[in-house]
Amino acid sequence: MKKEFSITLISLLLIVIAGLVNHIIDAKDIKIQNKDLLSSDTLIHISKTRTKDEITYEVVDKSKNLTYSWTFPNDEAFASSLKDNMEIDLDLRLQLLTDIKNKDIDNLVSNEDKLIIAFNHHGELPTKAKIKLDVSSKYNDGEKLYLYYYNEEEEQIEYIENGIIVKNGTIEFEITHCSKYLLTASIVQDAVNNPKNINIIIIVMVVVIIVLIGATLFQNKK
Amino acid sequence: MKNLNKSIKGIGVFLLYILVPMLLPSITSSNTKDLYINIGIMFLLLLLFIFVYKEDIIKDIKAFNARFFKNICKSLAYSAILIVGLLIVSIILVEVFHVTYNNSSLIDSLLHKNIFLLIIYVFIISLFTEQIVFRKVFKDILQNKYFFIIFSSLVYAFCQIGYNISSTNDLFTLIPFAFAGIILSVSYEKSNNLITPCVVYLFYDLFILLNSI
Repeated sequence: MKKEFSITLISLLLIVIAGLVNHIIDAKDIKIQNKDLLSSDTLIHISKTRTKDEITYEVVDKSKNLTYSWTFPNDEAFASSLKDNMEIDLDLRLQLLTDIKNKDIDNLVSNEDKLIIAFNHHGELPTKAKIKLDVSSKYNDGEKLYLYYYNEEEEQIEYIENGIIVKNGTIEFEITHCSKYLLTASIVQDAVNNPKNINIIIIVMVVVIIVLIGATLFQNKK
Repeated sequence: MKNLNKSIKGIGVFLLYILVPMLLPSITSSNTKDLYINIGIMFLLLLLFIFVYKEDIIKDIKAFNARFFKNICKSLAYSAILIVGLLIVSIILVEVFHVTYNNSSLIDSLLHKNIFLLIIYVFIISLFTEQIVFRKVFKDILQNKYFFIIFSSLVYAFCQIGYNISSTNDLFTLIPFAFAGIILSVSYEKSNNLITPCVVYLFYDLFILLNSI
């Protein structure tokens, strides 16, 4: 009885220590968040380039040391919807939440390598837009990234695409609406609509079944 | 012949466990109807598995209750090893390999949606189904204890995140799940009682839940 009591005490002590370590790690994250939320943006420069097919807005945000561009198709549908839907000069700004922690997203995504992209504009874009973004401070050339969307209403992470390759420190991806997105080099395990690697699953499961049947036959023969 | 029957039964249970979720919507789906369908069908599957192994489970419950305090103490000790071990493994993965995994995100996700769903799915369906499939079925078929512990843990880890593996980097995330599988399989092997790994995992889930609140 004494032995069991000791085991219980030691186990509970270990569990409490593990819980405390977890809380210390979480507290460290929240501290960074408060510090960074105090900063605000100021200097921003937007230049516009028009070609036959596309309109590109290049944004240099000196306050955040950010360079990125938006590319829209140069067609009538875009031009008319632009007037009705958004003040493009003001709403093209985005923030890269590299260091600050977004508590809602952090609750869902623990990937340390994540890069949260938050747009000033919220809601649907007039048309599909291509975004080119400098991520050289976070990712190396050749790295393949996953793009996820943070659905604030449902409080969940939704898979958009993978295989976004970092070239010359920049990446390109397309979106149709603005909100919060996040990039990671590894998959977010519990995101909605993650790509399912059915082939690997089938191969592994066939191997498992073969091993189980083999073990059954071998033991039965003995 | 008895062993052959056990093996056939086990392979059937394992196949059902693999194939049924493939046909269901994701548990993290935004659609509430999908969630209820998923949970309802998984609950029926669990009832089927319990029915298949009802005699062994009843025997194990009786044996566990006969030395209840001692068994709870042992389970708590395994849980402590599991919690501390997983914490160390995750710190090593983050600091050395820069890989993160999140074993609590399902709990977080369901906690935000519905506490009732969380209790039903995590603390009943997932917990008992996994122990029946990865502990009971594999131990019935694989008689070498070391092979049982290693093989069942690897398959368990793969079934947890196998769908999501798309790069070699993702393979690192198998390690924490394989570690959890080893602790659970060892607890079953040592106690020869299916209730022990269930209680070990129950303590672990409670720890994660308390950390998430």
